[in-house]
Amino acid sequence: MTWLRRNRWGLILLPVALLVAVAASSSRLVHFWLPYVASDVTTGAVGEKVHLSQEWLDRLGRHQRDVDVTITGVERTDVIRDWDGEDVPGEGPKGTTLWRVSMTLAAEPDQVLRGCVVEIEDTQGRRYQYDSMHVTPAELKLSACLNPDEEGPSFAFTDKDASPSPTTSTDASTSALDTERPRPPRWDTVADIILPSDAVPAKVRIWWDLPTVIDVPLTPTS
Amino acid sequence: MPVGSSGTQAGGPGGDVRALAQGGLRRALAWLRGRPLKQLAAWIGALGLALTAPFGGLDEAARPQLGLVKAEQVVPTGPIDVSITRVSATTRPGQNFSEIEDGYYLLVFGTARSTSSTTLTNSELRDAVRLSGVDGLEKGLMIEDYLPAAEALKAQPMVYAVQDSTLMTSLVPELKYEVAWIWRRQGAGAPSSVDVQVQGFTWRQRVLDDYEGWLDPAPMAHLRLPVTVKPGWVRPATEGAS
Amino acid sequence: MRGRVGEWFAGRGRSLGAGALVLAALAVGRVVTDRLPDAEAVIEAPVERHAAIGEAAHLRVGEVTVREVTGSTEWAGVIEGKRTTGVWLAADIDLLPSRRESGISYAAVRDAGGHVWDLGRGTSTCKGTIAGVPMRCQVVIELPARAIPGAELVLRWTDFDERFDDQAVVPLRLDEATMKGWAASTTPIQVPNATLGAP
Repeated sequence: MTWLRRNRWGLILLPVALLVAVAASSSRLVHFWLPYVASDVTTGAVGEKVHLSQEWLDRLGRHQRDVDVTITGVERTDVIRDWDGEDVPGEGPKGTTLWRVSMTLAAEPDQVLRGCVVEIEDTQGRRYQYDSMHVTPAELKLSACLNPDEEGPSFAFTDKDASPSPTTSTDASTSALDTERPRPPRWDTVADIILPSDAVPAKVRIWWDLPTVIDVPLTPTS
Repeated sequence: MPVGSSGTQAGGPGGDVRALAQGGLRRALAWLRGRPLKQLAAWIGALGLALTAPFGGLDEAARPQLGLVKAEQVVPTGPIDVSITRVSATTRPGQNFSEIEDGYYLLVFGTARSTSSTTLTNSELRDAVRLSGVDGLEKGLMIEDYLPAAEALKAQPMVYAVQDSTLMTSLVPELKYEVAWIWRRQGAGAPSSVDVQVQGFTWRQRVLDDYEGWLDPAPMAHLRLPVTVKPGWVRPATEGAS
Repeated sequence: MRGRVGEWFAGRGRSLGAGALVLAALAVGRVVTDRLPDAEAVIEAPVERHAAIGEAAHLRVGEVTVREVTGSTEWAGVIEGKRTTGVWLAADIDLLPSRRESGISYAAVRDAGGHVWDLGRGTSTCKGTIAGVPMRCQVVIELPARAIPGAELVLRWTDFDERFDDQAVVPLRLDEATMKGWAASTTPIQVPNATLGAP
């Protein structure tokens, strides 16, 4: 019997063993890299409704996040949406342009959707996030994807938040934050982002918790 | 007849016992010689150890004596050369501090100079000085855990630069800083004097994570200083105030 | 007794010899490893981009140019200010970030004698960048009031991890006259927030 015949089973199983060995030693990739980068990407298109579904954790346990996002357009703007929900004239530092991302979202009113991040990636791959830091006037609305006074429920940071009741809030300001700011099941909003004047937006990205991300490539606009 | 031959010799009861004892001894020795070498060695070692007992083998290791130093005397702790100047107590050291209602701040003033050639963070600085035997010290800044006198050495101070009343975050090489180690103490009535302890460090590698640095802060010198009570800082009155 | 002991060794001669050789090999290996230079330190060392004052250093996080270096015994920022018994060195910097994560959070003065004076009690306003938008900012470093021969200013994105990254190295002239002048000055160096935007 030739060597090959004698060892045929070993040889057949060898590639399998190699694959299993590589997969077994990938625990670092799975636990320490992939969950912290945008590894779960759903790509959409302008005007197309994209569904985002993920599980998230807090003090109370596991929750399910289900949102429908439609990016309707990205264009230059010289106004900003302020914390009263009004459009007021605004600008960034000299040499920058404000770009307005328009979107429509839909979710059940009990979904916690605070803390979303909206980002524009330009043709050079540079990324710009929704941020009030360099905007004048410094009155940009708080959330990129929610409207002022219609943000909906917030996270339970402490045990007190976990069981909200009118008697636990001590004064008007905290009760305004604790009581629900009801959110409609469907709403339109905008995110105004600063880009350098020579940057051309190529992609809009939105996420709540990495790694689940929605990517929407843009066709060249004016 | 040879003495000590086995058993049956006439010679009276004394002779019998001696013969018996000698026979027994020989048997014991034979038995001992029959033991494996490892066992013998272990027994001899254990015996040697036991013999140290009356010579202090079971005593606790002696704690090194705390050296007594004078005010302004430089104590080399390892990473930092520390000297202590004076101690004061107040309800509000300055503008950057909040007023304490039912207690006061204890401030130990002194100097600190790094011996390192690279910039040192403030962790060794904060561990370089401790108060001993003071009741009611706050364990750490804003940690509302007040320690009894026996655990006063666990209270970690904040360290401020005297020149500009800012938090000491680092020590750069070659500069001698005038600093104040500050504790918050709960309870009325400042003590008339406190025992200030200076802790020294050991340069070694930590087994857990291979970090090499100044570890194991332990008291190495102390001095007793009187406490001067100073009035708390008050916001200066502005013109036109009623 | 000697016979017994001899017997015990005789039976185990081979394995004892092997054991002794293994120990010797380990000891020699340890000595050799300790003496040889550390390969990791060489591979992971940050890449240095040298530039003079006024020249741009091309870093991974952007282009860094040190425009001017001044000094005094006090600096005054927006929130806080500090004094020193040595001197404060303030470097005015132009930063053109090339990516979203950019800035200067590590700044240090080092000399040929192995001394490193880093940001510590000083500050850096080179934070909060927008990729592609030029930023004018400052770093302030505390130094002793003496001449520092061979001084270099080192600027880097983060002080957290220096491996596999690059840093700007700018030679400084910190001679006796300069340091004495700075140590005598009590005018606070103004450290405002960084300004963004094309000049």
